[in-house]
Amino acid sequence: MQSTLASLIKGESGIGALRHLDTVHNNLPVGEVKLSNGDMAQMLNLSYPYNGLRTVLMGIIAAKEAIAMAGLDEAVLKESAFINGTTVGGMDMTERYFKQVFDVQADTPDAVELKYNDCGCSSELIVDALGRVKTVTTTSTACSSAANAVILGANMIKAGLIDVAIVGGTECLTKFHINGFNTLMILDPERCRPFDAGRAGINLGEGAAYLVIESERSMKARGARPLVRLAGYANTCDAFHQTATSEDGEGAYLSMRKAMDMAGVLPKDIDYINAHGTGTPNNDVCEFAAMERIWGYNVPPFSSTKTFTGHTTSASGAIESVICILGIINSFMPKTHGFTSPINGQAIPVTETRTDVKMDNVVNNSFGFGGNDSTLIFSKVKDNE
Amino acid sequence: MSAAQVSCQKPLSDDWMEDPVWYDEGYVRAMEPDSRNFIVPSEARRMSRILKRTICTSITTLNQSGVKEPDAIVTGTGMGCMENSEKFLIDLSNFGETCLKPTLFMQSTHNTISSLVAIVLKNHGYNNTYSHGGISFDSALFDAWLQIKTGAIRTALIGAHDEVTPFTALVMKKTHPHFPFVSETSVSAMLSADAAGTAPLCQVESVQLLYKPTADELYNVCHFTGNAVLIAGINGDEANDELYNELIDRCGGDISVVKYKHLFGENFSSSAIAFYVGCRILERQLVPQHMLVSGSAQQEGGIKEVVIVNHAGGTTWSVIKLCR
Repeated sequence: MQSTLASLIKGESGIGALRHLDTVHNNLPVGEVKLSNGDMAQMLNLSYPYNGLRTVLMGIIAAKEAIAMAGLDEAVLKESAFINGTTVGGMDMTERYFKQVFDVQADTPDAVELKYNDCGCSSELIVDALGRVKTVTTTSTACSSAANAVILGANMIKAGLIDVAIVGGTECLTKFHINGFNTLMILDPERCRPFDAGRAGINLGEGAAYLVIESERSMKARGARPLVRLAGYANTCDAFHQTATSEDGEGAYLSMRKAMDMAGVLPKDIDYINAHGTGTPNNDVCEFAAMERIWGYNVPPFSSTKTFTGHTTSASGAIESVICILGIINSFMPKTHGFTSPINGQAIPVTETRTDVKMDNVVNNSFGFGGNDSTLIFSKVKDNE
Repeated sequence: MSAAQVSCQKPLSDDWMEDPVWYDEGYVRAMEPDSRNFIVPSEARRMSRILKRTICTSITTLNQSGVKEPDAIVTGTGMGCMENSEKFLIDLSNFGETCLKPTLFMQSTHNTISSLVAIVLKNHGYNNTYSHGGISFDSALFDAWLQIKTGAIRTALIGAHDEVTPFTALVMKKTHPHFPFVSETSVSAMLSADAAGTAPLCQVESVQLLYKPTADELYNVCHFTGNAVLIAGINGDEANDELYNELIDRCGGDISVVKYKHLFGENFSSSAIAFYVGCRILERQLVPQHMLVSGSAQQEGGIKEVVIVNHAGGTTWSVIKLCR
């Protein structure tokens, strides 16, 4: 988390050439995690089968950091829930085994490995490396998966079923979705340029992030202090098209509106929007249209941090939540990297990192295929709270 | 509350209660419903089987419930749109990475199913998809139940859908050798905060998802209050059933134990069938004799409670309690 903070403030993007995934599309710039599977397994002191499971390895590293930072002990963990967002999950394994499936025999290690393409299986493998928890489940709504994991965890806490939830998502780059996005012709062969007139699509990325969310009661009892407050959240559906956003951004509009209603804040109270901002021609116009419907000429400062991380698909909601939280506790606003030319009639994103700024209420958008739109709002915790 | 199913039993029907279809094979596909009643043929042609089935069960449920605009659509699916994912993977494997078809990818993700329902209904409400092996449906039900409980929503169209293509069946034989009878499932149901309007089938009392619970934890969650029916994911495989039998022995008493996988087959959405069967048992106050493992088909004073217990691979358990 500290190195993420340093890179964001210095404006260093993690997007570069592909190294680990074997694909013919290795000319595409990506936000690839620099560590190999072997490196990560070694870091975690884990061996077979973990050393082949990239989604799981990244998930364990991130979840462990979150749990350690929150200071959760075994007893608290045991009563908590682990809600994981992932979609292509272990598809990298499926691709590798696809041709050999006819030769694999039941009840052999190979058969067990075939199982790892299942999303739920990834979540359980992660949890097994963390310790005992009460409940595990997996949200799978493509690019809003992690945000929806946060929402389920928060609802469980609100209902009084649990006090602590570890929520977020993980996803590695796979041939399946690189090729999938490529067939849709929405991958930019250059650096992605969200909210730029010259934008030509996405740079895919990979990664994992988790948040520990906890009831006020439990925090007080443990003597723990929150980093920020999850003030509001909403999940809506654009209900327009499987892979395109409606022109007026109805789903995005409703999602931001409803989240603000829950947070009890007015549009004027929002200091920054971490936009979904994929860099596709369609998303950025529609997302801005939705913002304009709410804020008119006074759209708050917004940026797409996907210019730093790439689009980490199922994990993006959690990774960008971490960026928002870093922004709030360090009073800075991350920029959109490499912005040059405004879209006609549209406000421009934050182009230079702003430090010492008011970051009291922050909106984080995650929009997935199928019009699965989710918004999370994080608020600063006042000193006297 | 209302519910509908498509499976290897007669689709959108409850004939399985009196007159089930029996199979000897280890794998059968679902009986397709007549989608012409629900989807115009030009649209149906563009949809994979799982998507057509989803629309059929969803619209049947909506019509029966009288709820036109549910506040939420929550779906479970273990594998999502497998037919399309598989075709995409086969093309990837055979022809490499250069001439793939976008349509297959566009309709391959898990959330394609729940989104399609929203697109067809033009529903902008809460929309979520869970994909966690054998408790995908239970997770969707849990989400909707939770939100109704906290007053966030009043109605939810829930469901679980899994298709098992011949290729997937082959893979499952290797990855899930403890599934002796594999088939396909689509189930939809409407949850509502109040019983106003059409007559409800039953009430969802609680939903619990437990990861690797101890025997005590599981027993404490299941505790029956009498006049109960226990529906369990018994499938005839020794290793699978042992876990249920331990629990049943411990619970003991005058409960009726019911199985369902011998009729409907098994896949990651099977537990949705258990839920569907539970609703019908409470509605009709009768357990079909051919589903009874032990106990009696009817209970003196009526069946008051149905407890549905399923485990996925012995690690994740779900316990759903339904009452009259």
